[in-house]
Amino acid sequence: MMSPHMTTKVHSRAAFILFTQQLAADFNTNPQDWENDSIDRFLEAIGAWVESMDGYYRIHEMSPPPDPDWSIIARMLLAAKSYE
Amino acid sequence: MPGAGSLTVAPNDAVAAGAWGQRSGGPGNPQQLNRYSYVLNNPIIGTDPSGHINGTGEDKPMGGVSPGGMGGGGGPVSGAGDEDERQRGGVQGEQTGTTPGSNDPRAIASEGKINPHDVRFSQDSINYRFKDGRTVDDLADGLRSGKVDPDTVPSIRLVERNGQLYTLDNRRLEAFRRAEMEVNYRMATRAEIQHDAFKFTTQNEGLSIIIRGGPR
Repeated sequence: MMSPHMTTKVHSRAAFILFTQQLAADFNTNPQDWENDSIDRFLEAIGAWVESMDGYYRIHEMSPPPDPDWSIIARMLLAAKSYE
Repeated sequence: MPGAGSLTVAPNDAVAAGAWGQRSGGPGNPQQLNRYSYVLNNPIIGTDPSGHINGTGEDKPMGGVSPGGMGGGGGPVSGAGDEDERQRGGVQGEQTGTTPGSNDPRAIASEGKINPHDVRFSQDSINYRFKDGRTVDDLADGLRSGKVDPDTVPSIRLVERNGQLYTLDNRRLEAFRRAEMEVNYRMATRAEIQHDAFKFTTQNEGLSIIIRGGPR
């Protein structure tokens, strides 16, 4: 099961590759848990979450990274799994 | 793990939309009425601070008495009527929402019915369409016309934060708001809150939500 906590460990290209593999496995194993299970909905959700992610960071009392890093890319992908 | 334990969980609205006509599974928890069934001061921070989960992972309805006040987690708030600010570029949608009424999470049962206007949105925006292609208005119209029995729609899951109730099921909440009907709810489990932590993107304390891809 994928959890937001997993994205905090994605600090390298290798870790990101592993993360995407885990995400793909989650999709194959638990497709019913995916709100956005088509490429168009998934991509739309990525954009929507990124547009609103300032709210996420504020609510969680975190500072958004000044520059995109591996972790935030992982976060975008996982957020798009369930973002309505 | 969402869905684990004794609860029947609709992990997202896609499931909910696809489950119309099926009765929502209610919590198997015997705690049918817990007048203090609200979470710790800030369930979001408490369970997933900076993505570092410190919760127990137990999949049970959130309970317990909030320690102290309702501070923390606050920030600049856009007013619900701040239409211009909410209609940002890049989002083709409408803003909808009303000011929630005064509610007291400390007096809410772990499940029941609630005025949808007493619940806030967790997300900043929602896709107008459910996973199966039906729309928010399809559900709202069905509810209004009686074609959809509100008791067959899975309960929206609620989270208490800073003394306010937020939902993890934003689209269903919006549909019931449009239908002006009470909605079944239950308190979210800790695992569900962790799983859906990314949904908390509201930038105006959940007072309104932007509809993406809806009719203009």
